Amino acid sequence: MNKPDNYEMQGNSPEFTALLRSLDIAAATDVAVLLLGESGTGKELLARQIHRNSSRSDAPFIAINCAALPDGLAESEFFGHAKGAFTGAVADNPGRISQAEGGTLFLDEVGEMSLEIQAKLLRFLESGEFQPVGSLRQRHADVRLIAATNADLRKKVEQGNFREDLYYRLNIVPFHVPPLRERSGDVALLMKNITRDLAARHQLDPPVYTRAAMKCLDSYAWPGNVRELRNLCERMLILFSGREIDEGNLPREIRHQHQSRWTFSLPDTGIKLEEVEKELLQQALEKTGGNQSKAARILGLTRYAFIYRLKKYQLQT
Amino acid sequence: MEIGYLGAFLMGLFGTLHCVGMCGSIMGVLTFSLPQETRRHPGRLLGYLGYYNIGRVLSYTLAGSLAGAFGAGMLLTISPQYGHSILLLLATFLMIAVGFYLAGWFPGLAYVERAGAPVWRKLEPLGKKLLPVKSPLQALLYGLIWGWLPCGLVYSALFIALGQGSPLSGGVFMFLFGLGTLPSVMATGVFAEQIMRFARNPRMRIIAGIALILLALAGLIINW
Repeated sequence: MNKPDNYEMQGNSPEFTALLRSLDIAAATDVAVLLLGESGTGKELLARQIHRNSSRSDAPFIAINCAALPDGLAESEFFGHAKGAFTGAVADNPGRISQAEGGTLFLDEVGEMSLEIQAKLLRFLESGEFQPVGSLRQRHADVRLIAATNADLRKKVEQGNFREDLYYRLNIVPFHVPPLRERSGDVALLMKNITRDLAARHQLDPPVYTRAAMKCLDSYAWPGNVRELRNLCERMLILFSGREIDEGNLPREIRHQHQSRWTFSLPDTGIKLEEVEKELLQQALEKTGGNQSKAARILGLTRYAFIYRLKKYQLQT
Repeated sequence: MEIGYLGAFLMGLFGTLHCVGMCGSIMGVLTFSLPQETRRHPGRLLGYLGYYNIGRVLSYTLAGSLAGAFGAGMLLTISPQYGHSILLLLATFLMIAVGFYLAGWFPGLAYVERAGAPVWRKLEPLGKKLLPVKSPLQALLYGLIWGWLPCGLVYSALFIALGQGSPLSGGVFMFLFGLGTLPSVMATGVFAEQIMRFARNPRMRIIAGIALILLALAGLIINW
């Protein structure tokens, strides 16, 4: 039986199998890899697979979630510290980089590192050397780096939140991990596998999804990716064990995906409706490159009604 | 140049927009796993990229010759009189299908790549033994193996090569297809991110898809 946290590695879609093949080739080399993809797409599992298939597989795989490191502790966590370096440093700590010696260092959510740590990490990546907190000695470590992020690093560079030199250092070979909605046919396959495994674990009869329900699930955007799919399977199994699940039994956000893709809450301070309308008209024109028919369509208006509003607000004649 | 051969080149040229999006990182890996001193010399680096790709295109050519030979046999078996027309129709249909695939309107064509998975499973371990590449010969040999990487687009081109009627024409068809793929695949080795972003642009893919559909229809009209 598959472990529940390994479903991200299952898939038959050409998009996913092409990625696995490319990563297999990357594993046979020592190149730094950057995994780009949404949350829940299995970036850490893919990194572990690269490590397992690499010549470094006998050495440790050390994962650091950069988003979970408090600023004050990050440097010590990465590079280690000497005994007495700061209050509470009662013993030497080798740090994560030293622990990964000879193996793979996986930096998850790499875009969330502070600029100070980014500078130190860059120095390590360029020279292989680092200095533990409170130590005068330089240390050296030989690690392969795999980084992952769901953020737009380029945008972070433009905003000044990510060092440009580190960006280029990490972004040598970027791999795009496809979100579930782009993996053709994998939703049905994963639902089948996950439901089967969970039914066996909970000793329940699996539910049967109707064709309409499957169609609805297949066209859903799955913002939480495989993690969200797994949670849904578990919920439906517990609620509908041994029964049929039709479109109407699916959660509201999946059922009404086409009807309401966004929600709007009126702020307490109120709004000026005409200004909102004017803004939407302008945005629609921008999105469609000035094509009035398309702009009207995305606002759910007829072309005539759209042009009437443009004239009303003197936006375009 | 026959429209079929021009079609092969353009199919490779436009088609890589999709391939780069799917497997573009491979060229990046192969480039950046080369020894640093090789990467520092642009001439030497280009040479290695060339060896990888010569190997890849040679594999396509060999596969095309085999397909052409097989297709020629089929042509005689099906009908010596109408066999060519049948294969021409099949080739046009496939090229249109590839056009739809590139434009993103027929993603199902990618499943064709499953046909090659068993071959790749046998070749992949050999390829891994050649990595990291340290000599031009290794690069050439790796390229020869890389040419058999399962790819829906390459297999569709091979189906079209079936209809070329002889091993020579089939080989030439796939050679030109391979030549068409060279610019973007080689550029991906150095400008991975930029090329991949370009290849993922849906508008570019639609333009490439429509161009291929029109080319297929023109080929049918001219050769009928």
